[in-house]
Amino acid sequence: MSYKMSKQRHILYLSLKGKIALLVFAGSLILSCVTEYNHPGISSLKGLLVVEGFITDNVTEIRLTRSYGLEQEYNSFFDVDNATVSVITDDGRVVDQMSYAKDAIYRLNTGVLEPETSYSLVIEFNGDRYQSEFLKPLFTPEITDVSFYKGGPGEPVTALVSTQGALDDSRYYLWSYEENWEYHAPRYVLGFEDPDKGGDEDRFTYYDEENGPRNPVYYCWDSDRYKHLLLGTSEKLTENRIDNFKLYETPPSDDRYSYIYHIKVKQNSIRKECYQYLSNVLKNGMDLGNIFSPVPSEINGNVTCLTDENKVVIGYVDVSTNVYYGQYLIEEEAGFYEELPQESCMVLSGDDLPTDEESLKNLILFWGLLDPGYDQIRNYVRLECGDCRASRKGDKNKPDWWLNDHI
Amino acid sequence: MRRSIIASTLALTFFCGIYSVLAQNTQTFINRPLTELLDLLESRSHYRIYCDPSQIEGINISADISGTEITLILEKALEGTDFKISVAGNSIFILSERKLVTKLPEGILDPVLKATIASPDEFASILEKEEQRAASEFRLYEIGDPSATGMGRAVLSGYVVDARTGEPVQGVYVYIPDTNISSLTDAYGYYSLNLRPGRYDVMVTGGGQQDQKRQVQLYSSGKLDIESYEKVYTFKEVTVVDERRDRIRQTTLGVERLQMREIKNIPTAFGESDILQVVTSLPGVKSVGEVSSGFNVRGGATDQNLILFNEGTIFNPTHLFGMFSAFNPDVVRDIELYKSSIPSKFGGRISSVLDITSREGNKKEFKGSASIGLLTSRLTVEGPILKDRTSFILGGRTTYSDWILGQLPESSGYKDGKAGFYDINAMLNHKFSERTSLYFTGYYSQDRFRFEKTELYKYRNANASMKLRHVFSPDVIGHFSAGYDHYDYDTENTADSITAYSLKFKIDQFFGKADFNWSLSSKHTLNFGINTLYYQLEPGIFDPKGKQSIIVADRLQKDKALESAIYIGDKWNVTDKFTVDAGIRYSIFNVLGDRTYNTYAPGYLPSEENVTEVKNGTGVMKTYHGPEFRLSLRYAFTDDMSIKAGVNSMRQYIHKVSNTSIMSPTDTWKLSDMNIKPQTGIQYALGIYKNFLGNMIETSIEGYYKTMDDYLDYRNGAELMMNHHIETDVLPTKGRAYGVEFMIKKNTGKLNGWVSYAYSRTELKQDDKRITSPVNNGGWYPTDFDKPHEFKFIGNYKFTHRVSVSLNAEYMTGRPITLPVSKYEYAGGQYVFYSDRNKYRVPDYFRMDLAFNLEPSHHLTLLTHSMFSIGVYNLTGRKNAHSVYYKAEDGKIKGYKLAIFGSPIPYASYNIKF
Repeated sequence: MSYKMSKQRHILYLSLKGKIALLVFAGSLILSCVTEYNHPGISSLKGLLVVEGFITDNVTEIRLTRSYGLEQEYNSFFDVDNATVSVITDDGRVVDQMSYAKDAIYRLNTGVLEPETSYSLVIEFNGDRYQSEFLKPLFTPEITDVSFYKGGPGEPVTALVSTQGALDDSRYYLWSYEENWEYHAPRYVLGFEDPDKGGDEDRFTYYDEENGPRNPVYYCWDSDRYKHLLLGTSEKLTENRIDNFKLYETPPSDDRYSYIYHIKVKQNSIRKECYQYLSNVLKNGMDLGNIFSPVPSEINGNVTCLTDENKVVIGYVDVSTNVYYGQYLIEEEAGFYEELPQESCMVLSGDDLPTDEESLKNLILFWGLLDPGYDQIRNYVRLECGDCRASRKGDKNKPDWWLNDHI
Repeated sequence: MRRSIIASTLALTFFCGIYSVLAQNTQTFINRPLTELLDLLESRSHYRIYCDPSQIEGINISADISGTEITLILEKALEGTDFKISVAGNSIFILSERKLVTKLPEGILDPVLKATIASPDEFASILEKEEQRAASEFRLYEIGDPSATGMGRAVLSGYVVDARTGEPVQGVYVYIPDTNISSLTDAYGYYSLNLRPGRYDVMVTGGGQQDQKRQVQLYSSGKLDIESYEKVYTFKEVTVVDERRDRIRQTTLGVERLQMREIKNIPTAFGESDILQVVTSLPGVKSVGEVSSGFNVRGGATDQNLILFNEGTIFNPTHLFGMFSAFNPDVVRDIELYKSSIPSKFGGRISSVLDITSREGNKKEFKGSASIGLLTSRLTVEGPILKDRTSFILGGRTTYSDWILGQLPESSGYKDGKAGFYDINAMLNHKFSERTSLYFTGYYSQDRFRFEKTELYKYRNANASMKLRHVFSPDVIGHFSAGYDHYDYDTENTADSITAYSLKFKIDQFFGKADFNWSLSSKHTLNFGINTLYYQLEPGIFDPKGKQSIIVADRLQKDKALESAIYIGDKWNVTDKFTVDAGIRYSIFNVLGDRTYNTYAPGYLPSEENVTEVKNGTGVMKTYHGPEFRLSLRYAFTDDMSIKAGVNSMRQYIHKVSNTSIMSPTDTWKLSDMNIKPQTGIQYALGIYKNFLGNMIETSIEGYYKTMDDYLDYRNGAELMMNHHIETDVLPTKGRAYGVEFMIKKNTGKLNGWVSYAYSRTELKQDDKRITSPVNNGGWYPTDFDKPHEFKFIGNYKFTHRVSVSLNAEYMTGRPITLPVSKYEYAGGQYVFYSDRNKYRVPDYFRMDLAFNLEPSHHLTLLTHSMFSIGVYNLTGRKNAHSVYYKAEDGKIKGYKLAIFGSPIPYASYNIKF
């Protein structure tokens, strides 16, 4: 595990114009303005089949959706879940076929990919037959490192990936990642009141991490995933090596770094044609509008409609093995987290307590002395201080492989 | 000289009005308008008073009017002002800083004076004599040998020079009234008239100079140099060279001449006089948007304009990403833009020629000027080294624009960035004799900018040239020039030691030219010559930077070629009304080795899959050649109306490699080679020109149709940098452009300027059957700069001779853009699918600018003259869309509009001459 690496830089000359554009853009910002704008009169082209995913070893996941209008928001209506998806080989074998999709994802068991066999994806949907180009599998090299970098106080935290392949391997890479992190509520609620224990016994029970019961609202888990295409190449380097490719960058106050964080990075080798296709997709979505931006354009992927050649299909289905790399970032060791000033989590009691029921719902009992015969004492904290589910958007769904055993 | 000023001023002073007779009994006149005093005095006397109303407007004055002698009252009243009075008979003339000579000079009634006597045999010796410049309108100048037979033809030639600085004046019309015999002074002020011996009135007009007349008795060929004076009372700020009748007289179509002094007050974004910004305000000239490095002329691409600065080619004409043009306004004398009738001596680009000429420097005394603006400062010095023989001008400009980046918020990431430029101009000329002059020019400019400390971007223009001008005889002049042009850029990124790199691009050009002008007869003037240009390009050098870098060094093969051309053109005055300007240029382009190249399967477009052979070539590997035709016809119905037609064909062997809408500092250029053909273009044009109100109002309508072949467009997703086989990423494309331009121009009066409207279209098409997926299915699609409707107004109102206000207004159809028509989910985010190329347009463009200018005083005795301008660019603050785009933010697609100047931009600039 490495937390501090040299700052990742992967800007080759390809992005030069973009940089200049940014400068002009930035330079003219004093005088210029960017305003949200939706161009009137655009005639939308809806319903194009979008094929996302590669043919990979073990389980191939293919997501089928349809394109939609600029003015629309995505919903399950655009999922394609009534297609039949197959992986076939150039010698006529059907490796697997699937007609069932969950969340528009078709999972096919492709097993081990044979180096000398070419594979193709076939989709039958609404009476049309679509097929990707037959391609031999690319065998992805291992990820050599996943690391995190922070320049100094206040600086963002960057996640970086490195890999090294053989010189005759593909020089083009695609990454994706899934993140999980554990955090805890600001205050550890000391116990809970059991209303069933009415009468004269003590209705307040203290939590005990060793002998139970355990505090069920102190620890929570949250997750996220990549938000856009992550593409890299070593084609201009003497070695097939990618050093510290930036996966993402977030502010140090992000709660994912507050306690225990884990990232699982997936890497695929891809062909040059796939890289060019995906780069163009990325550029069309991310790098436009600047003064020196290239004129946007579409290039064809490798999926075609066999029954109607005029039908446009979006996507490039490469054939490549998956490689994964998991990495924890433990705040206690890294010291990256910079907590933002929070609203006070002071303990409330007596006259500080609200009287109306609605407000009381936003409190959680912090500590209590509820023995009959004594003055009953109830101390509270705000719910977001004592209950991790309220303090952030996480929940209690702990990954089953998580490194600790608390709930 | 002084007398000539007075005489010419007398000739040009105009009657300002007869004031009504109003009896006034008051004996004092306190702080009231001068015009009122003049009314009063005129009413009390038999005098009539003449003046320039614009000069006296707004002036209040106090006077003792108790006396009876009107001239004394007036003299006293005008004490302390610039005005002088001159009395001639019953007339009183009021002039600024000048007195009229109201008596004939001594000797004027003597027999005619002999200015220059020359016979053809004596011409050589005459040329060697000290200059004798004709300064008087009243003298009769005898030219030539009185003993000549008076038969045959005689050439009257000479120079028109500025009386104050001794610099030549270009663009002045020298003509014989009521004939079609005329000559437009060239860049050296030279004119030549082919006449029969006899008595003539030689008229001199245009070029922003005072109209003048010289009386000539021509016996045989001889020389008449003419001193001219800049107009001081015309409203010059926004006047395209005061040609007035020139448009009627000239055979050429679509030619615009502007003088630097006339465009200095046009409001600009940062108050810096800017040639390219003014060029884009002319009808038929467009740019993709504000802060654009390039411009488009009549549907041509930005790389189809030949930009010449003192004959050297400028590849990147802007500084600071397009905010400023690369030309120092203090050094530039004038510019000519050829949109249609491109002289046969020019070649190499298929759309236009922008010919920029610098000044030669004051030949009489040392002078200087300095300017302070918001972003730049400049300093120019000039003067004689040997009086009237050798002069120089040296100009420098630099910027302190880093503060722009310093204003950015920390979060922008560019607060510590740097951006700046400088340029240096130097010109030296020496007159060996009346026949031979030598000119040296040098230009160097550098831009540098960085976003972070580990990055550096630089680009440079450099030019050096030498020209020898020799007058072989009055009717044959030769120009011999040689020079070197250079452009390069250099980028570095050392942020990560493993991938640290440098990327370089370079163009070197060496040229030699021999151009001749031969006034064959009063009907024929020939231009002919030969020129050659050797290109050497380093299209890309990509190197690791530092020992740790594992970047693979890569170098594209050098592009070398020789472009040669021979041309001849004839201006033929067929009749008094009908003239023809015809020319042919034959250009030859030799692709030179050593280099390797691919051959591709016939019938297929070049691609990696279609390579049939890799060959190595040496010497002349391929030759492209072909004729280029230039023809202009003019028929003058009357003195103030003519019709013209023309056709031009052009060839272009060098191409800009870029897939952005506008020129970028990192664009590279590519020569035609074994696989990339030259571009060709042909333009047909027709124009009608009519002047009204004694040539005060000029109107014109010009229409054109232009086709382009082998224009380079790029494959979707093309990789243009460090591409060893760029032919695999380009697609042969056809282009067409057509339009009509209307213009109304008023050159004189308090209110002057022009209004123009143009309707124009420019479209491309990929109909080569070898292209499997042509853009927009092989149909015509608009270029990025296709803006059908264009309305431009440039106006100036002169309150007094020193104070004026200028207003610009521009309306244009929004430029075409490619917009997404669909969006989709992919790889964790939203992406967009794009429409056909340029199917949509950004919102229409409108901008208005306003400037107030305080001109320098014309007091000759003052040590310094200063000019002050304040103005507002984009007065209405309209947020004109430069682009409309959609991009993903947090995984969601959002639409945006970018306006470069989203608010009014005030500016102030101060210029001082010393």
